[in-house]
Amino acid sequence: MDLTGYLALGRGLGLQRTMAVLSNNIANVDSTGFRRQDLLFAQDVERAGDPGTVTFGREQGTLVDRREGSLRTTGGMLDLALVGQGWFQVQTQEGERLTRGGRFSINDQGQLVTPQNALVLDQGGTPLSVPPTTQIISVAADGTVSADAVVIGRIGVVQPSEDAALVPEGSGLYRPEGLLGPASDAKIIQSSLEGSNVQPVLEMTRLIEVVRAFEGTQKLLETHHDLARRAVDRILEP
Amino acid sequence: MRSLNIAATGMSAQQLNVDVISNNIANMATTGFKRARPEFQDLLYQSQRQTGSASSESGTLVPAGVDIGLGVKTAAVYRVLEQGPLVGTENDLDLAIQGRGYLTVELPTGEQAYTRSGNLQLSPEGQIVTADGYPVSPGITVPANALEVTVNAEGGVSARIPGQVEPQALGQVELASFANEVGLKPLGNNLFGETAASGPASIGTPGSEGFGTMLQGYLENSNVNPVSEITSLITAQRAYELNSRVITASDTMMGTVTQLRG
Repeated sequence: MDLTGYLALGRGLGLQRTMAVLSNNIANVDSTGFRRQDLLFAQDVERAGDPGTVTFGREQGTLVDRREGSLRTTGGMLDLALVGQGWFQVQTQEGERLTRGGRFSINDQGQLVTPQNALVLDQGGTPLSVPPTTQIISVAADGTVSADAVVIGRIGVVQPSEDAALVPEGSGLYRPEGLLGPASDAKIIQSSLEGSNVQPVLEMTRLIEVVRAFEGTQKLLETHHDLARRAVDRILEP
Repeated sequence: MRSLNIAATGMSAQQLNVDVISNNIANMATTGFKRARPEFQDLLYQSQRQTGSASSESGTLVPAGVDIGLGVKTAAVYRVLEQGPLVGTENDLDLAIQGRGYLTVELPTGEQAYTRSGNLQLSPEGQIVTADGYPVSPGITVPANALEVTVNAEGGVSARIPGQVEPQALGQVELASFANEVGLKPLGNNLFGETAASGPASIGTPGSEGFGTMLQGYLENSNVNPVSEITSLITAQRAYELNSRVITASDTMMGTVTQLRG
């Protein structure tokens, strides 16, 4: 079996996927509440013939980086940012999802919604609505919402357990695979939004690494090919 | 190479960002203008390895799948409804709205539009109209011999007529408010139109519950903050450059492949 060729090919494909993940991070450098992702590789022993000697690299999973992004003040009354570990819970067509993007608005039925019209849930898991005559909405650090100084509810902030996976679904929504608990140390800041947690410098450094590593795998393929050709040449020598 | 397309979505998003910023800066001195901000979100994800799928026959599950994002999209371009600064003009027919509400304007097509730009004028017939000559509803006509027009905080319009001691009441300015103001459609010329997203207009007198008050002799300026727009512009330009670097890097990778000797 031509193992070297397949190893280099596997690594090359893996690096291309890493590149896709990196470019997705960089494309979302300005997305509200975006969480950068990493591809996790694992050794795949089974398929490499003689166990233990040679292993293939294989994608194990997408890792969502839960570090916080920077805050920016926007002045919008319904722009809410979270500080500390915790997520807003919203109700979509597909079920309950988590988001850190707090650019909310009020729909024509007076409910608090995300740009995708997903309903923002309160602590008890029911959608929050605002009376139509409300002039000023204020949100306290603990999530208590007051409409013209009358308390109308409390925004639910939840925290998935430490080992639960978060599956990115696009539009700033994440699906938790595991149990949710109340977030104890999360605070809400009104009139601010949390930016993406992508750090351009880190992503660019990773980008250079990936390009060089990819060149390396191609060099490996080339050397391997050269060796094979030289072997053939020598065998055929008279 | 997916990364080429992904970086392209990033570049076009930043291009839109610059478009919105330049429109904000261009409208820095437009009466009643509300600055806009694009809202970016991550696009769809392609699942290479599904979370929760079986990883063996004995029922073990994949704890985290491989999901590769496909770039960025613009979720919305919002108007930030912060109150703009009020500027005194000492003009009788300049009205600023303090708080929520829009003036209702009759378009020539018979439809209604809404505006916060209160630089009103008089038509040849003495009717109160916008700067474009569209009548403000409900129609109020000022007599030709009126010396002075007064608008109180609750929107009551009265005029002092020569030879009369008491000012003559001419009518009442009404405000329209919406459940979802952000959902209004910008029509240009400082006008907005009702949409399904904004909900129907509810009409009320200024100063009543849920409506702002009127301030005569003042105009609401644009709420654009030049300093924050310039910082946004710098960030947008850098983000654009970053994405173009990704394209160069992807191109280098493709170049490496094509240079392989067969």
